[in-house]
Amino acid sequence: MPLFTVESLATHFFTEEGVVRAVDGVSYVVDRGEVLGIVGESGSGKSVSSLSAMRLIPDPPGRIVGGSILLEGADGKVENLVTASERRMQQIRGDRVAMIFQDPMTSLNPYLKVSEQLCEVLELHRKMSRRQARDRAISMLTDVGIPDPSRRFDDYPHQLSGGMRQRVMIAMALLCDPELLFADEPTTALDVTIQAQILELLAERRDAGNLGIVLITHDLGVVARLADRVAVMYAGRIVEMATAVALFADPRHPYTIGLRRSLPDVGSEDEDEDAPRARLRPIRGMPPSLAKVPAGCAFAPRCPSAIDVCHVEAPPLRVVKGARLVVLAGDEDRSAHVVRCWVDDAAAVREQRAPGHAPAEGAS
Amino acid sequence: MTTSSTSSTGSNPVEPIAPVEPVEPVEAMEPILSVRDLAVHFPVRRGFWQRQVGVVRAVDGVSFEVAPGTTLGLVGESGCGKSTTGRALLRLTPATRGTVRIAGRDVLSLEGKALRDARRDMQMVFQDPYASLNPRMTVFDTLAEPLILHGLARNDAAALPMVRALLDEVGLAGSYLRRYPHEFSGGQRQRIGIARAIALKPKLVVADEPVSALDVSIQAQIVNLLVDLQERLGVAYVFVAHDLAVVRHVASEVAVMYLGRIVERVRTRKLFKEPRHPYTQALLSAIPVPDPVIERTRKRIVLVGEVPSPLSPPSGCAFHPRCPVAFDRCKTETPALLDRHGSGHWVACHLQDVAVAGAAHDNTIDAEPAAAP
Repeated sequence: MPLFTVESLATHFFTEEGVVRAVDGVSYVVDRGEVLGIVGESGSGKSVSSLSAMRLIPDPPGRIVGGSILLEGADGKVENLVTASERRMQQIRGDRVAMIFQDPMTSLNPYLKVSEQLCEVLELHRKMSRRQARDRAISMLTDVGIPDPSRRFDDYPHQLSGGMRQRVMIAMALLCDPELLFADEPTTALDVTIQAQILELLAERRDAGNLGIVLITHDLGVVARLADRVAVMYAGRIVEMATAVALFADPRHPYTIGLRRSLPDVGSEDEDEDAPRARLRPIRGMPPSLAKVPAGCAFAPRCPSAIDVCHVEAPPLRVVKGARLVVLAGDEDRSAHVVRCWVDDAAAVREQRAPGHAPAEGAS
Repeated sequence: MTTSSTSSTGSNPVEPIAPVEPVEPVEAMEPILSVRDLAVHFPVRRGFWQRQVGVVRAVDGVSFEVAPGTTLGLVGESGCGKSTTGRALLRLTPATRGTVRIAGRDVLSLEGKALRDARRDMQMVFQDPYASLNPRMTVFDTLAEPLILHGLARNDAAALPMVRALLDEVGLAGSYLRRYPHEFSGGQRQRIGIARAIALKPKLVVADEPVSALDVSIQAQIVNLLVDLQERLGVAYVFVAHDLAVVRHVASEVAVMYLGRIVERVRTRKLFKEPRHPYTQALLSAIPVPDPVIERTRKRIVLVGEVPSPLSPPSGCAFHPRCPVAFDRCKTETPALLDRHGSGHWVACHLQDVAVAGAAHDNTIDAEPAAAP
């Protein structure tokens, strides 16, 4: 059994405008020493899915309405976090499962010194004395690359730079040696040279500490650097999941392909200096409101490859077999390349026909 | 909805377009923007009496030119002074010294009506379209106001067809005229911000992080719009951004800033192919490339530490405490931005003076990270 298994998770928000299906049947696994990247744009449900896994969804208006979240302990015992008591969740959060957020300024308490915030975690979860906690916390600050940690220790968060605050938050998350870390846009607010340092740090912890990481980001570059496997989310669902190498080498979902193509190219170093610049190829339109997700495939209205069935019926996840997609056999391992799309011919998708062109081949 | 810029790309994605940059060298044209030794210093005040205890040299002597219809990318990390430079060009932040000439006018010395008139030629697109549009004004009011103020239209009725044309230009439907900013998505709001900037047919637009608040799939739409408008209107851009991939796509020339100074300036392709300044090299190597195979094999220069406080910048070259190849001279002497080979490649680095500049450059690229954090 892997470390962490999310099965058919559904989190809905019950608002005045109707039911917002922020997460609508998401399944994935993360194992020890593995980074799963979850990619998506704003409103794709990528953050809500991880907040759900930590049981941090404000209720009301939000609620986990279905599915299970299984965490395996070192002793092999499996717990379902969906049904765990709040008291039990408090024991688990910050201890076995930790989280770092995009903006450390909003997640660190501005009134408390760094030292108090770090020591509290250890006193609470590890029943350490203040003195023990202090030693452990300072050594953790050293580990995450904070220079002169004993001096920084008694600073308030606002006295630290953005990169330092993010390190403090990572240190706090790692204090109790968690088995699983949710990193939600951990480097989005940081400059690229600082981002490189933080990603390096996360990779070290994965490799050394046997830590499982769920890396949530909109940045395909960050995913390419750190993730072993990648899930692409759109409108509350995973539309494609594969190993990072397979996903970038052979993307199959029209959304994944569109996302990749809408990025300016940075790879071609040999291009002619005077060659004209190609235009970017954006995805037309914008993501749907999750309160009124279109019938059928949520991406269909923006999809250049959509066929009739896409507008009517939501596609199931299918597995990549050569150039085509086939029905799941049920015995796929977690590195299988799965795609939620009706158009099962890779060449047809890659062509990205203009809307209005009648597709020659139908759905399977 | 579909917008004009996206539908045209969607239908024919590989259609080649004319190069945006002029074929003749940039120097051959009379620059539309010419900046000499621009500096912006902010006093730092502390205590009850608000006594001045120091000065932040946010921009400390930058010079560059932009030819009509071309784009200068201004890049660097937060605090490097790129946004302040952009704002100072348009008189949104007072400059401490230097000269800025836009379309022949000495912008920094203008006052009153002369300054208002000059603003027709110089406009700004802001990062946050949520904050830069007046929430109480409809799209029509927002776009008609500059037209009427600058006498291009006598009243609302006269402005109406012009506003419609503007909306069409930026790919928004005319039916949006009477709507308020909150009714639009981020990408649409940025289109409105761009429409407002081009309403007066300016010769120069400073775009400060115009796409960084937008989702990836929307960014490309806005980037294409900016490129299209440049081709159609011949407007010059100063494009301020931290995203080097976007800058690489839109800019004909790039200036890299570090702690208030330009450390390297050269044509875009040259910069990415042959970065000379160690900071530029580190910056380029820090950008994650969306390709896991490249990412896993790539040599990376991981810089130690962070950008120092501009309140007390390091002596000599401001980059020397983080520089993997710094030597003694870097600690004492500030390097000048020089075009050593007359090739339009401006670099502020003492290493360039070392006899075999090419070899030094190779060493820098191959340098191991000075220290792992």
